[in-house]
Amino acid sequence: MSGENSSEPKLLHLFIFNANFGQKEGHEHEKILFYHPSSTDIDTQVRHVGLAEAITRFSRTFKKDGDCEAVHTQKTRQVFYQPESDMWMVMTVGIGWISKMRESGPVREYQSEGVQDVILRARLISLYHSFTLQHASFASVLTSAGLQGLRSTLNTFVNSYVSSVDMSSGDILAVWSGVSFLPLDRQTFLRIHCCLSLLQSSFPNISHTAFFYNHHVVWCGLSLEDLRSLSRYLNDQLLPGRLETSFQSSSSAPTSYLSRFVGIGVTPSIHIYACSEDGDLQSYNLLVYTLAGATVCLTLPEREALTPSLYEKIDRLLEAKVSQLASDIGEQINKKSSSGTSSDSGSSSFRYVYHNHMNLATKTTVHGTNQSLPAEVMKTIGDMHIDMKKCSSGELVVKTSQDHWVVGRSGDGREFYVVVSHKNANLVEVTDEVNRMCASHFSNIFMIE
Amino acid sequence: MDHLGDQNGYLELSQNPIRFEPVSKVTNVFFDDTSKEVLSVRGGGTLGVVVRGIGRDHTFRMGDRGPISCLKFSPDHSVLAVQRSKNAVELLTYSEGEVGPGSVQECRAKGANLLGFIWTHNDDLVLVTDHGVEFYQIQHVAKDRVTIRHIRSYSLTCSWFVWSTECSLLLLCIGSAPTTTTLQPFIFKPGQSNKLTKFEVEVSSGSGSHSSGVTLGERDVCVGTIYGLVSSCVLRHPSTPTVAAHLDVYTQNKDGLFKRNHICRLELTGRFAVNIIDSLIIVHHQASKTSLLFDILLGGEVSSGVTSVYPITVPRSIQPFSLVEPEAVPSTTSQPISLPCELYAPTWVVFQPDIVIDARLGCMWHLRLCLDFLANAVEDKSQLVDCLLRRKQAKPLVLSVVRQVVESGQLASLGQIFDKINIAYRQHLNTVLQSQMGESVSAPMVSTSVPERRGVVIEQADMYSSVLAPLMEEAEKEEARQKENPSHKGGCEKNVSPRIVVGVVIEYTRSLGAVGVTVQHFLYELVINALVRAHQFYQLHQLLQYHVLADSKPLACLLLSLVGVYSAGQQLSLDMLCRLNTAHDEIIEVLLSQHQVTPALRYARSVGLGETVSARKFLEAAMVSGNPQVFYSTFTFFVLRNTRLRGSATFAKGEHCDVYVEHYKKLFGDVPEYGTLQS
Repeated sequence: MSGENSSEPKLLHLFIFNANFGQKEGHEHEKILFYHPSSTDIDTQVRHVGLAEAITRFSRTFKKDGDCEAVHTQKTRQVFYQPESDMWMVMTVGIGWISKMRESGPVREYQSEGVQDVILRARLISLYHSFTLQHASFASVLTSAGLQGLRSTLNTFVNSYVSSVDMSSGDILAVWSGVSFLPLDRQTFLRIHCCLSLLQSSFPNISHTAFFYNHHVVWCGLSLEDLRSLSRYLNDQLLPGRLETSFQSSSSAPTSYLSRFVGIGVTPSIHIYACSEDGDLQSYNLLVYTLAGATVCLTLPEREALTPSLYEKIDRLLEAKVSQLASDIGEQINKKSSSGTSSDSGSSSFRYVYHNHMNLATKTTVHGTNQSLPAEVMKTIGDMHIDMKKCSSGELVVKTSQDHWVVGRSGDGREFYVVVSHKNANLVEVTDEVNRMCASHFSNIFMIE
Repeated sequence: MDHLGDQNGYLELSQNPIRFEPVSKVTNVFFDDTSKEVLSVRGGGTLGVVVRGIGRDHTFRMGDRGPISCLKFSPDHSVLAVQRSKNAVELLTYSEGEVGPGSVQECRAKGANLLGFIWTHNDDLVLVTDHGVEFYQIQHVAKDRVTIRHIRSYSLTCSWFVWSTECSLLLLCIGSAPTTTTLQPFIFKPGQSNKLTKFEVEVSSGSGSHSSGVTLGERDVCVGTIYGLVSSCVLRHPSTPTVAAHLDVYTQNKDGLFKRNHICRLELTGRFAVNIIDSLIIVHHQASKTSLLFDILLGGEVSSGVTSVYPITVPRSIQPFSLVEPEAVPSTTSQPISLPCELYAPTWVVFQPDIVIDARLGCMWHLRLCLDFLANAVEDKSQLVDCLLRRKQAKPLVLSVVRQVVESGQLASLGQIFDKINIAYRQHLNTVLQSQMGESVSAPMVSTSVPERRGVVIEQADMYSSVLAPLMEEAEKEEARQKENPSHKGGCEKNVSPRIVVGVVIEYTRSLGAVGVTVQHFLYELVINALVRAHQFYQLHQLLQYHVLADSKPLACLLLSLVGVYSAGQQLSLDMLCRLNTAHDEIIEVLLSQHQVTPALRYARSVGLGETVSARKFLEAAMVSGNPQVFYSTFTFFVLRNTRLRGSATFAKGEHCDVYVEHYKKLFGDVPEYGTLQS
């Protein structure tokens, strides 16, 4: 009878304000640049924003080296992120609860451990980076389009973002916000690289190229941070809808070159900001070409004119090569998965998540498999991450209440967590198990112990 | 196109032709294709015989005993064979310009007419008659007589024959049907003759039903070596003028049988002459005064096992040639006049492999290939490289073609070009490997059956020094220019950026990897330098991630040196050292330099170096780190080690650790004695 009524954590408010605006009394609503949900009446908006600003100002007195990060209440959790000076992003999440029967009647028990600050803040940061990918920064939109422009830009952008990304949940992967590199043999990788350099030499205007296969990165000519945002953008927003439509259309009509470019119109492109080769931020047109699971991204400086004939030429160069590469990659993955199943996931009693901050590489055997780990374990990993961050290298071993062992190791920019589900194992056995696993799965990297 | 040649021709005549007295009323000229020399006989020999050849130039006289129809020296010039009658050869001794008396050798077959005679080797003489082949050997050459022994005869009806000195092959025409002609090959070795299986060749390139009037003559057949294999090329003239002529290539296979494998499509009609130079078939066409080049390995469409081959590129004339005639000049002008020669003249006669003779002009040339002009003419550079790789002296040319392709930015064909170069490179490495293995097993007769074919081999060092390194220099210069003059950005036509260098080198590495050749370090270094120059550190990281750049200690050190500009350099370097598994000391050094004393110590212990590492190095790093805790644990580790190894906490004198003992005392007081611990 315990779980009769329950609630998952959910997004309550998400607002962005500039603390410098609306300083005069009665003009407080001018601070607000964005408010979600938009149906909230203006007085409530102003009250919430006012409270949030008050908290940030108040906490600044105590914390010299950073901003207020989160406010915990029984029913809500509020996180703060100040990406640009005086620009605040604030998100409030309602804490999940379970209704339990007591003598006095049903009582809601709030599961405050179910919500982790680090993950919520990571969501805000990702949101901001997605914004900067397409719009550079709040300040630059403000200068170029004015306050009204910024408000409407934020409105369309954040609303569509929030509808595609679940802001109130997540795990360690959201915190790392890494990318998954596709395991490939050297020769195939080189062929991909050569295909892209051929593309770049044939169209010298192309500034960057990147190659993805399904959700995995193979090659990226952009900088590390840009890759992070781009990969998020492709995987969260652009490609999921794309794959559905392409499957529908693939059977019918002869596909024209335009069907392989993502977007609408005769010259589909996405406007993005990315680091140029000299290291400063520049605006580009991003062309996304998808074919048989492979995605080629290429950027052209904004000043370059986009013409249908350019698209056609690019398609002519890429089509045969990319479809060949995609089928070769698919073959290789199938071969690997068919040979790997018996030894890899079947017999082993451990799962791991791995991240390298140096190149954003993330690997996981926790996600995507048939049986997922209990939420408790994932929360534990999130908590361990906060502790691990405090020292440059180290090892942390935790046994959860459900008898899962979680071993975390970090050092030299790397972090990884192994979950061992041996009920009766002791610390020595678990350490041995993890060492064995490291020797077999991570033999080609150097882990500082 | 005028008849005086094409400045951009693919062929040239040798600069210093061999001059001889031209044909006239009193002079007959003979060409001896065994020794490649021209003999001019004046007045039947009484007025002298002039012998002209490469490195050979002498004159002699002999008595006039009737008109000479042919005369040839034996290859060592000890015997002169002269034919004056229909069925006999005179064999005269010859030494230092003196013709001695000799003997007469008649054909053994009764009533046979002598078609010709050949010196197959120094002592071997072959007479070809319309009744067959007679093989003789010189027994003894005395001062005044030549003794000769009959070895073997083959009885065949023969209408004409073709002899190839290069292949020691004799082809006899022994019969003809309406559409085919039967050829009988013989092969000769010193003292040996060998009759091979006869084969039929098609005569006309027309529809075949009514090819009357077209017969195969000796002019239409030539024999030479193409890619190490004896081949006979047969011209097929069309029966009707609307059809173009073909050149069929019959190649001798392993069993000695001649089989038609290739058809060269001439797409012309008229008079042709054929040379075979460096395995290229060169067909001269008199009417258009052009020459066509065929490389049978370039391939084409295949139908029923026969490959159609088309000319490598458009036909062109031979390069113009001028004859300098000092004696023809009146004494008033001191300058010798150079007379342009008519090319493809009707008086031209072509001999194998590369000889062109103009009997009226009195010139003998060697024909040479001008591959540079060929390289410029061929549009498809990948096919060009394919062809050049099989030529003998084309290495610098191949490299310059590659460089040209790179600089013009045609990366599409570059991949194919690299593949072709590296397939040849791989084959070369294989043969080297085989010969080394053969040597070690001391089996000398390994690859006699496989014809030795040495084309161009371009190794990594060649590619590096001739193409890649200059390209990188170019990119650096370009960068410097842009730095000096930033306004010119984008205005430059030739833009060699480090990015292109990376693209090219990676393409080359891919191609090397595809044929399984280990890439040498300097190529990796080039990639890294170019990427660093372009500030593409993350891209470098990705290349390392996919193990494109093979692990090595120098590379790890190079990465380590990047730590200042790219923080992941250390991680990359340590990973690489770890994978090498032979670089424990280096790993410890890196960790210590980063003041990661405890991890370094743990690492040393994990690889079994805990007992031997220098205490001083670790203690120094621990002291410099300024962390008393780290110093304490490090110090204790070594004190425990001392106790275990020597039974005492004190350091050995040679370890020079007094400073650290003092430091310890200052921080923590006296050094404790741990007593003897179990080891």
